[in-house]
Amino acid sequence: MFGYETRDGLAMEETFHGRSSYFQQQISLAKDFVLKSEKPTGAPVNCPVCASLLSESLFEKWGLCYFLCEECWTTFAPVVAQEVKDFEKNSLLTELRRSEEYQQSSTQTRHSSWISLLKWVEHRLFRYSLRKGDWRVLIRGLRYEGLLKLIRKNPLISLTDIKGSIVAPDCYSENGYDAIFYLDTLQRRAHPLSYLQQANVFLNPGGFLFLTTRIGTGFDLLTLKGSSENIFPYEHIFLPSVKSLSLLLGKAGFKVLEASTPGMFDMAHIYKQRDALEAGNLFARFLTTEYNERMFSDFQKFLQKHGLSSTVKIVAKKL
Amino acid sequence: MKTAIIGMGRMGRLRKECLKKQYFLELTAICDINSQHNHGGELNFYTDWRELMDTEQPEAVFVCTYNSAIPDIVCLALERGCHVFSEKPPGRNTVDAHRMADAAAAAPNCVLKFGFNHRLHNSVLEARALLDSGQFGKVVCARGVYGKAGAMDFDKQWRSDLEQAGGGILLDQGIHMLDLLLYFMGDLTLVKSIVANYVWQIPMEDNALALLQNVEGYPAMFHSSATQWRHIFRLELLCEEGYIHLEGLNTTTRSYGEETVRVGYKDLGQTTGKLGMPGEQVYYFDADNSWYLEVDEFVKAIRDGNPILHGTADDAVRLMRLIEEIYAK
Repeated sequence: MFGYETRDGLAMEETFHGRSSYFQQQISLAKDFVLKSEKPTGAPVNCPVCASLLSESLFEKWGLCYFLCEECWTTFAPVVAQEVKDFEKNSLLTELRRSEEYQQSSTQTRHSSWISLLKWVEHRLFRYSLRKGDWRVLIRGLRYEGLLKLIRKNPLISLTDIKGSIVAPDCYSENGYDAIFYLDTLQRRAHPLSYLQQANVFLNPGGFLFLTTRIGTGFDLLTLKGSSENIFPYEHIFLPSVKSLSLLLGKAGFKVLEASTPGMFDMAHIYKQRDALEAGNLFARFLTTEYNERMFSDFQKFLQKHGLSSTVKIVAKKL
Repeated sequence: MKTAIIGMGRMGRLRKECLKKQYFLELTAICDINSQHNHGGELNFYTDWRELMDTEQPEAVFVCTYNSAIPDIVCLALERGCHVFSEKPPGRNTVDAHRMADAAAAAPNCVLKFGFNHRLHNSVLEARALLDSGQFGKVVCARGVYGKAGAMDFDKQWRSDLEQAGGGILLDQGIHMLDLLLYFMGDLTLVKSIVANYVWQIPMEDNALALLQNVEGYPAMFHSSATQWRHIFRLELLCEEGYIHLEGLNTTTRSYGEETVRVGYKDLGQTTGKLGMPGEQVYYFDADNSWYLEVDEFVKAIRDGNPILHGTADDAVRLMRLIEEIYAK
């Protein structure tokens, strides 16, 4: 079963209306950090999902090389793990994201999408557990106070614990959770398999993992590659395909119940960055030249429906 | 458990495939009045279902015959202590349905289940879960359309023989949609119906329309048609807090279109920026597991004592009573 979300007639100019005014500032801070950070050298490049050595260099960004696994279509960037930890916990970017102004701005721009996300979680939890509430939930790595408040206010969730967040101190047990949320955190993991295996440990038998993350097989990334301003280190260092992510979840002891790619902005990103398209990419260039709102909206729906958009939502069950 | 299938047309063959996917029921014999339907030839084959019952003495029976033959087989099998899975419709009228329900009541150790597989289509399971989650409130109005394209030999098929079928498109296909309306809205009473033959030269209806109401007064509109000239399945559930639209059905030919559930919440504040265009979630499904899930429910009822949730004798009687009311008005 797959699913997708649509917003009919989405105009390009509307698409970025909701984007945080902090976006360019974040890019700039991330770039400063990554340029100064230590990069791995010389080691053979194994795919973190299938361990294949058959990877091609896809692009380089801020001195960091991204590879595409020819076996399972995972895009990944080998990193020095400590650098990623520092980036997450101690960088100027993290300070910015912790600031009250940033949090307020995020709440303003993202509130409706959080409501929609929580409705989805509620519905899927009920669909698969047939339990109407009293759910014990652990959240990993959340970045938004506003979303945390919404989750904690949800009457169906009786316990909300948190681990590894920049906006709240750790508060969790070693196990006993009905559901665990990995919301846009897998994409910045140097060791994605062990990160998913940890989720398995925290969950009760039959518990559910709700996972959202960027994927490397999204139309915008495959089209724009390193020119995409939305993909940057160390925010995005692991970008699996839907299939490779399912494979990884299987290795971590999960069964994927559903996977959908409801991303809404591939076409908008390509249109916005049309000047960065490679000269040889005639299709994308022609597409942006022939831009009309209806055609782009339909194209985006096609991407959503067929697993070709750049974000994935997964519900998986602990085996 | 020794099992037989009676009737080896399309449904019998389909059930045979379903039985291969589980281990509890062991298919040992099949029966069909047409000896050419001895597909595979690896099982004991009969052309007389009574002979099969006498000789094989199965413990479970799948009844996949013409409508007119269903009640006799179901009743005799229950009488002999067999568990029975019968395809829809539950006979041709309420007399048939009551007869089978009575036989089931007289055989309390036997499981009787009727095949209303639409309840186990993915889209219907999703819609049921959405409603049960409480996010949408009550269903305040339902509109269901189920239609067929017809076929060159439509008027020559057994379904167009009144004696064998007992009714037209309403009893053959519309019964599924009515079952779903009952499933989503609870008991329904008839307000008005039109049952008519407009095109096909057959002795039964090719269109049935009905306006129904549930116990709280909320309406359901129903249309079953053999003059749709294409295959169509559409069920709209309008709720207090949003809407759930089911469209298409995954079938082997995909001729009913892609099976989808379109979900929207009421958006009076226009969070999408466009009045009348709320953000929607569309779920689509790439498989039809309904046939297997039905057999699974049947197996678990026999093996584990689980209750039958879909296609009980009570469901059958309730449904046939409503159909008879629609015919009568």
